[in-house]
Formats: sequence, C-alpha cells, structure tokens
Amino acid sequence: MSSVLDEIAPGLDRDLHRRHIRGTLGLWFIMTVLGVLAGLYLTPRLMPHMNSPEGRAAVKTVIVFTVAAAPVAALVCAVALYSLLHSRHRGTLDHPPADGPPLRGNALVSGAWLIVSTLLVVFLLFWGLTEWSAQQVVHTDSLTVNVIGQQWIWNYNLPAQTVRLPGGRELRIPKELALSKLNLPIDVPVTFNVTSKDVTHGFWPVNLGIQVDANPGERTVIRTVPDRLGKFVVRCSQLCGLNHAYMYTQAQIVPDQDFQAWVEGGARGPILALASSQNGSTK
Amino acid sequence: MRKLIGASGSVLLAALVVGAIGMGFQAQAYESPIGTLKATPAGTDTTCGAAMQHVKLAIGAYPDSSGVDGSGHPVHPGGNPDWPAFGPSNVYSVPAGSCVTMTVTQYDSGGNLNNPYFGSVIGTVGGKVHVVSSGTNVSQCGGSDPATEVPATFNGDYKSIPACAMGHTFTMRPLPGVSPGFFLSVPLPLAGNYGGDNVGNTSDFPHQTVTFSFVAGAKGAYSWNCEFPCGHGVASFGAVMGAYGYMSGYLHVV
Repeated sequence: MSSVLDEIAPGLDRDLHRRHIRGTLGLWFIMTVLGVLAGLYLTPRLMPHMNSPEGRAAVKTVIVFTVAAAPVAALVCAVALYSLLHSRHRGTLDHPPADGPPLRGNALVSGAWLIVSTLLVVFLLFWGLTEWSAQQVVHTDSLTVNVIGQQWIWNYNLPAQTVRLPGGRELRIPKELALSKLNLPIDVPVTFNVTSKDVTHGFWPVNLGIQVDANPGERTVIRTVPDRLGKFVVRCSQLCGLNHAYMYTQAQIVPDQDFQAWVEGGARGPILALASSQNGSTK
Repeated sequence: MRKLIGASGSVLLAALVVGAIGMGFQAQAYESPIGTLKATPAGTDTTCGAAMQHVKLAIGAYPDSSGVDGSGHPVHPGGNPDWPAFGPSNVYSVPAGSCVTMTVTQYDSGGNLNNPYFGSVIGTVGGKVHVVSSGTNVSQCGGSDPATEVPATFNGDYKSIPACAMGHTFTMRPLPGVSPGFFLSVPLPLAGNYGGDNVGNTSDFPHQTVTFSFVAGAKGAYSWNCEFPCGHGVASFGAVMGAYGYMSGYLHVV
C-alpha cells in the first residue's frame, strides 16, 4: 500500500491521508444508510396508490433502484461534502492556493469501480427485462378501449363487444360508446388502443402504472388488469402545447356489475359504486 | 458552529430564491386585458331543473381579434387581425352552485373538427344547446367543392352539431382538485362561409346564437379552450391556439 501511495502521490502526509479516508468512508456509510432508508420507507409514501399489478411493479422497481443507487449517490455526496468541509480555503485569498500532490491511476480502485458499475448496470438491466417480460401477457379476452389524444384532452371510445369473465359471466357493450371519462371494470383485462388526432401525446393513467405515447396516425397498444377499486387521473406525459398541463381526465375502477349497469344505461351520469373506496385503497 | 450557520444560511437563501421565482410566475398568471367578466344575476328559477340562483353570461366568438364587437368594445386589445378570439373577455366569474346560462354569438367561419367527438354537446342541462342561425351560413358538409355547399341553418335545440359545420367549441374542465366530475363541451356552428373566409364581428354579419345552461361546480378555477383547429401549423393548433387568451381562458367559480 505504501508503495502505491508513494507512486500515485509522492510527498503525501500519510496520517492526514488516512484521516481523510476514514472521514469520507464514515460519511459515505451514514449517507448510504440514509439513502437506503429513504428508498425503503419514503419512496412508497411518495408514490401514488396503484390499482394494477403493473403499477405495484413500478413502485417496487423504484424502491429497488433507489436502494441500489444509494451507495453510489452517497459516495459522490460524501466526497463532495467532506471536501467542502475540510479542504476549502480559509481566510483571505492573496494568491491561488497551491496544488495538492499529483494523483496517478490506481489499478485496484479503477478495477473495483469498473466491476461494481458493471454489476450494478447488469442488475438493473436484468431487473428491467424481467419486469417488462412479466407485463407482456396477452389475455385472450379483454375489454378494448380506444384512446384518442387531442390538444388538449383525452376521450375514449368503447366499441361494441362481449368480454367473457371468469366464472362464465359476460361483460356486454351492446353499442359503441364515446366518453370523456375513463371507467373500467375491476379484474377485467383491458387493452388500450392509443392514438392521437394531432401531435404526440403520452397516455398516462397514473395509478395503473402504464404509459405509452399517442402518435398521430398510429395505434399503439398497452395492456393492464385493474385490480383495485378507486378513482384516479389520466394525464398527458408528453409536452404537447399550450394546455398540456390541463390535459387530463378522470378515471374510475368499479365493480363489473356496476360497469355493466352503467353501460346498459347508455353510459350517462356517474358510476356511483365507490362509497367504500377512495384512491384505490380498497378492493 | 460557523460552518453550520453558513450551510443553513445557504440552504435558506436558495429556498428564498426558488420561492421568489415561483411567486413571480404566479404573479404572471393570465389575466384578461379587459378584466374579468362577471355573470349577471337573473334571480332564482328552475332553469337548471331545481330552484337555484340563476346568472347569465353573454360572450362572442369573433374572426378578428383586433376589431371591435357590436357594442364598440375591442375584442382583444392588441389582437392580431388574422386571429379569432372570444370576447369581450376570456376570464369569467360565476357564483358556486349557481345555474349559469351562457349565450355565445358566433361570427366566425369554420370547417371540419379534427375529432368529431367535440361535435357532441356534453355537460349542459338536458345535454343540449339552443341554436338560432342568422344570415346565410353554409358548410362543407356536402364536400369541398363550393358547388356542393349546404346550408348550416339551425333553429332549435341540438344535442350535437355536424363536425363539418363547426366554427369553434367552448370546452371546459376544472383545474386539479376542483369538481373532479365536471366537464363541459359545447359546439359552436360556423357562420357565413366555410374554409377560412372570416366574416365580421357584428350582428350585421351572418352569425349563430348558441345558448346553453350548466350548473357551476365547486369554488375554484376552471380552464376552457376551443377544440376546433382554428390556428396554424401542426393540426392547426399553433399560432392563436398556442397563445393564451384568444381561444382559451378561465372560469372562476367564487
């Protein structure tokens, strides 16, 4: 070790150097613990309640990625903070401070950094692909919802269709419905066909944990299974012009019997079946 | 201790700067150059289905934002003559929970909607509008050849207006956290010719008078805009459609 120090930083005060290393490592440890705790306990509280498996997978991914990133971010912050506290210039500045001892490459540190970074990136890639592939399930029977984005509003079209539900029941939409709000039955797979009438928008039903671009002249497909009752908002995730911030509509997940009754009533008025649930917290 | 005070002071200063920038943006929030148009009280009646406070708002949709309306008031001070605008103001105020009857006098030409959905009347009392045509109004519903022009004459209650006979729309939704279920969209049929041949700003010119009622939601701000492609650029939603205060504005429920 001493030969490496002599090589990369000749003339270094070794006692002072060890004190700096110990101080930085201590700060790194403390900040890593804080980052991990924030990832485990703060992140879930900052994320919305999710009403689908995809949404909950997104929350889990954010937690895992935050925890995985905590040591890296903490190291950068620890070095910066320690340097700020111990190595900043004090007193008046009559002339530029002298340079510190020149540093040369350290194969051990460089190698460790390369291996750790590679392992982290491979882990993130593996996690992401695993979660993504788990969401590529195509259900044989699903409710088709055509989503149309336009500056600056979403509207929805439910084609006439019959969806077979578990237990032999059926969900029937006898005639095509044009809607300004998104109402979905619980536990029924949904296929969204998303398009735009003008510029690119981003269809983002926040609490379903899915998001896809709405492109003019194109149809993009995204699927989910809403599995918790609740109300939420569909937003636009692509900056699309003057009223982008106001481009959102209300959405609601309701029991399938209530959805069926609402459809058979011509989809007029609100669905009133949510007395016991708010914000997707009740199933 | 000095370090702690220095660090705390830096964080506090940064917070103050960010806060000041936010308040600066808030102070720049859109206000109509003419001010807020307050609804006129009309007593208590059952226009909206039950006895409640009734108020009225009268506005116009004009092809020339630089001009004046039939009363001599500027439509939009400093407006661009090639841009349409709603006037005399784009910011309105109505009492919470009141029955609001709006009359929109539409003087502008029009054409086809990008999205036929906005030809439907949504959120008004009875799901309808009352339209009375004045002058000669023709649409391109028969095709793009002028020889196939068809009259765009309305006289009565309508639940929708053909997407090919559209002048503008008055489409409104609440800002986040205010009356989540509220949504209003009213099609305003074209006046005069179709295809961008703007007509005039006053009652001497062909126009469509559109009347509808709705129940004002909870207190708060509601954003409205036109969904007819009456600007320029991509999908005709640039220019006037990309500038606040011409084809867009606010309704304040107080």
